[in-house]
Amino acid sequence: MKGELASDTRKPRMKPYDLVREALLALTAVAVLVVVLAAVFSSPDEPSLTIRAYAISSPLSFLQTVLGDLDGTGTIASYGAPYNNASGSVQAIGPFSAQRWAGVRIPVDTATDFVLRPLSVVAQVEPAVATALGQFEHAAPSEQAGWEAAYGKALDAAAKAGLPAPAPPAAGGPVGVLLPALLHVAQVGGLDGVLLASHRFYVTDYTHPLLFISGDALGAQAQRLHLLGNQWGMMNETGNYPGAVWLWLYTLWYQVPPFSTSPNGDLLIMTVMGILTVGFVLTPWIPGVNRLPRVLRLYRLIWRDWYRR
Amino acid sequence: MAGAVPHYVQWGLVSITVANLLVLGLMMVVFAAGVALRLPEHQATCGPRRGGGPGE
Amino acid sequence: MGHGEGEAQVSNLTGSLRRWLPSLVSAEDLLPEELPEYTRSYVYLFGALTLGSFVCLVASGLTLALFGPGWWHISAVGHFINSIHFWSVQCLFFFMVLHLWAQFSMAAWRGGRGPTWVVGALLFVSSIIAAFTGYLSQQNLDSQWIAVSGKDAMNAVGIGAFFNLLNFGQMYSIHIAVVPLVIGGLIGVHLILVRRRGLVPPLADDAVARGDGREG
Repeated sequence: MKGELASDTRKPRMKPYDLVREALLALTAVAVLVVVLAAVFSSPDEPSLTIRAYAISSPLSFLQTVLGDLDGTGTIASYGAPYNNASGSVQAIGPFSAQRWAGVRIPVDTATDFVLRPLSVVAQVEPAVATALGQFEHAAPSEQAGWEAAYGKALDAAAKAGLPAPAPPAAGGPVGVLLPALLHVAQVGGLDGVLLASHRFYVTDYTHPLLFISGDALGAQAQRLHLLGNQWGMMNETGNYPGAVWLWLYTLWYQVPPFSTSPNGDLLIMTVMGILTVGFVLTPWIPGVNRLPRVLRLYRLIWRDWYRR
Repeated sequence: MAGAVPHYVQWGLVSITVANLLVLGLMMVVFAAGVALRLPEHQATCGPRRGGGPGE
Repeated sequence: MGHGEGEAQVSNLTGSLRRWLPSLVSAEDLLPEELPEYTRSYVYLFGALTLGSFVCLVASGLTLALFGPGWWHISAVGHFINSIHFWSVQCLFFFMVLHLWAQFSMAAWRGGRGPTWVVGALLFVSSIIAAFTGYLSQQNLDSQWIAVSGKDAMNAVGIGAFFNLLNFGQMYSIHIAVVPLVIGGLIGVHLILVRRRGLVPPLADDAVARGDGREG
């Protein structure tokens, strides 16, 4: 850039400077600041939601969720890659779908993993559940679908009547026995551990329990706490604490069409942010953008003493 | 858990928590101050004077 | 052994490294005792304050790691250390963004300082990944929500299975081991580049720039 470096035209005077001292002063200042902030304001720690708490507080929502897991209409059941071969949540831009290309890498069968396998444990000690489970698993798919639909209607009726659950005996044959049993197991804390366990002893992967509560369970909490995408939620923290303010631009797109209304919104936004991030990294070489400092003229304030001479 | 609901400000499309708004405001104030204020002549970078200053 | 100092040891990696290091940045440039007069603004402190925030993050983070991810939920001291870690994050981004605003205003990439800008931008991106994995490591309601809502964006770009937000073990180990090392390394490169090139001089006066006709 023409005349870009002032040192071409004028040699600056040198001033004594203590780099290490300045670094130590900066470190001390920040350390004092964070200790004071920590002592005065502490930090947020909203207790995690257990499946037990969810089942107790929202039994009808729980039953609707597990019915969706069983009959394949639930969000995770119909999600698609990486969990299964459905396509309900698979995002694409035209023919480009990295999600589909990545494939099913974390197989989750919601009917088996979230409903039938936990119930098979209960069936060992509860004859009524064992009978219903046997009846369900040996029935034809069309018969299973009929029971599921009937139980779904019973749930809708209970919701309209403001009841926490369909009054027994619930419609839906064995489904009307199995799902309330699952609810009861969840309410005594049995489902949290069962969903986490696998054939291994040590488990640090919470994929199954988190997917289980990923619908209304956590969604209701998120809405209450202003953490939803359309509430600028990515930027927010629980309670009156600052959140990730630096995510303002990423969060902003989720408030405006077409991003906020498109089923491919996440992919569109990640693409836009990816492009902008590349632009940010390569700012020095982007024509126009690299001229902005001259246009803004803030440098004239920062170096005003230099320019005054 | 009732205390977890944040105070927020709604202005058209924008909904921002009070805490975040404070942080943003503080950023602009501190940046403006950083630009506007001058470093003290000898203290911040040189440390206590030991009989010497620039040019001596 | 047995070779004179003046002979080039082409095949000796150690000697090559020893000769290369000072060419990267001299000791005088690395730890200067004087700086140009035009660095007399507070904006020049924002970078150091960002670095100080990082040191506080590492210190509090190491303490948290020492006692395990569940400690801060059951111990008042642990919660206090977590609070230090939380506010250090706020300070890190606070000062980093101010540092970014200052460097952008000064067009600090001039004079061959483009790579310094690039490393700085990568540091910003890495810090976001650090914060993201950190939020996921909290083991509370916030972590649960961030995991289940963030998964859709990760899945949409095809990396959700390889960077599984729902896998606490993976997110935690990335946060306490992988990301700090990457950020630490980038900081080292960033500081060496800053010291190697020196602080960017002021943009030339427009009148002077028009008059001298020389390329920058």
